[in-house]
Formats: sequence, C-alpha cells, structure tokens
Amino acid sequence: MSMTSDMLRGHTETIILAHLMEHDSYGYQINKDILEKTNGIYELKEATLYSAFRRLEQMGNITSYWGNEGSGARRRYYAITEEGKEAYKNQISEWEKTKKIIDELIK
Amino acid sequence: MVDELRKYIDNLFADAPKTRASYELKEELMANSMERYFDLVEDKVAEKDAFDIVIHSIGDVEQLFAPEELGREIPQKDEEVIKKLALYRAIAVGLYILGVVFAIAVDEFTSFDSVGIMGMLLFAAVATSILVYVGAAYPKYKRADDTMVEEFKEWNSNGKKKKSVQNSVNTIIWMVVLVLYFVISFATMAWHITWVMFLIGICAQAIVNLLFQLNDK
Repeated sequence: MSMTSDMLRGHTETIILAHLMEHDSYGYQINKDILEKTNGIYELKEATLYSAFRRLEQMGNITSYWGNEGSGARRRYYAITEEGKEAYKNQISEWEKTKKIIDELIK
Repeated sequence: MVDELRKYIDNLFADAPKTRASYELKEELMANSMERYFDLVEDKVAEKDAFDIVIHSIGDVEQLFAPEELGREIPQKDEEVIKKLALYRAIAVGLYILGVVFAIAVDEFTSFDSVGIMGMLLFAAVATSILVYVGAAYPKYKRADDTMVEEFKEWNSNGKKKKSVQNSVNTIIWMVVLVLYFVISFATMAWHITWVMFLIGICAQAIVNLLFQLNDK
C-alpha cells in the first residue's frame, strides 16, 4: 500500500491536470473524486494538494479564481490552461512509456 | 465543533508570514476543510470523529509555509549574500574616506582648490551609487529568510530592538555633526570648507551601519 501511495504522490500533478481536463474544480472536489475512483482507499493530503497547485500555477499549467459562495469561506477554483493541456498530453505519453518499461522489467 | 475547526486552522496560520499568498491559502484550506467536515457530519460521522478526520487530512502544514509556496524568493546562500553586502558597504565607506583624503591632499599640495572638492564629490557619488544599488538589489534581505516560524519571531523581536538602537546612534551622529558645524564654523569663520563635516557625517553613519550589520551576523 505504501508503494502505491508513493507512486500516486509522485503523480499528483498529472492527477490534478487529468481532473481539470474535464472541468474546473477545487481542492476538496478533486480529493473527493480521487477517493471515489480508488474506492475510498486513497486520497491526497491537503498540504500535498496545495503545493502541487502552486507548482502548476507557477509553471502556467493552471490558473485559479475565487468562487462566490454565498456563505462561509470562498472556494478557490482551478482551471487548466492551453499549456496545461499540452503538459498533460506529454505526461500521459511519458507514463505510457514508463509503464511499458517497468512491465518489461518486473514481469 | 465547527468553531473548534475554524480556531484550529486560524492557529495553524497564526505564525505564518502576513502575505496575501498565505491569507489566500488559509481561506482555501478553510473552505475545503469546512466542506469536508459537513460532508462527514452528513454521513452520520460523529462530530468529534469528523473533526479528527479533517485535521488528519490537512497533513504537514510546514510545507505550506515554505517560501517557494508563498511566491517568495529565498536567497540561495545567506552567508555569501551577507558577505557580499558587507563588502559593498565597506568599499563605499572606503570611497568616502578616500574622497576626503584626496581633497585634503589636493588642498595641501596644489593650488587647485576646486579640483580637490570635485574629486571628493566624485568619490562620494560613486560611493553613494554603490550604497543605493546595494539597497535596491537586496531589498529587505533580512526578512527573506523567515521561513521557519520561530526564526521569524526571533528576528522580529531582536530586529526591532537593534533597529531602534541603530536609529538613536544615527540621530546622535547628526546632532553632533550639526552642532560641531556651527560651533567650528563660527569659531573659524571658514564656512567655505566646514560643510565637509556633513560628508564626514555620512561616513560616520555608514560606518555605524556597517558595524551593526556585521554585529547582526
């Protein structure tokens, strides 16, 4: 389990980009989605998530804006940019390659 | 329990640098945590357990305070920057002194009065440029390394005390210069040259600041 955990954490940014490819989203929603897709086994720490957001933002792969929720704290939404879509494609093909190599090596 | 959660998050950020980035981070964390909490409570999780789950899911907060996460530059090598700053300041102070020496030398050994003063002003111009450059190139350098909360606090209290001592010393220097200027000028009536004392005052101030800087280290 901890190996899966580490592997997943290593791909935090790709996971976020994949999520934002579908629609704009915010931290908790992304985490909820990860939890759902992994059948409630895995989710990211808030801290991990936010530092990935900042990195992606600095690289220009995503932008953020504030929602206008009526009450309580505002949500911070993230949207993918054109560069982000490009980066996502690259990371996917990168992953395909890695997967193939590791499959070969550990079969 | 909601209030406790709010308080908990407030506390996490109590020592964070007061920047826009950290404020936004707090608001983001607050919104997400609240939503998670209410979802859990809706799923019939006991409030206390929901609180614990939310807290646990926040993770290691210190990484959020790291300066690169807050969009701030960190000086790569503190020691080197400090040494460089000290060197620049030392050069500037040296130039002020050389300027005065030059003026006196010209006055003593030649008959070109204005050459000495012009030379001195040139020295002062270069020295001042260096100081201005250093001030602009490393703005508030000291504040940049307050990544760790404790360090920041320590700096905050120490810095203020030192700063006020430094300021009083500077004030005293200028008071003394001003008083001496009038006393000596009236005594000798050599007004055409006594203004040099103000340049010496600048020197003295630069030296004092340099000493404080070195002491700081």
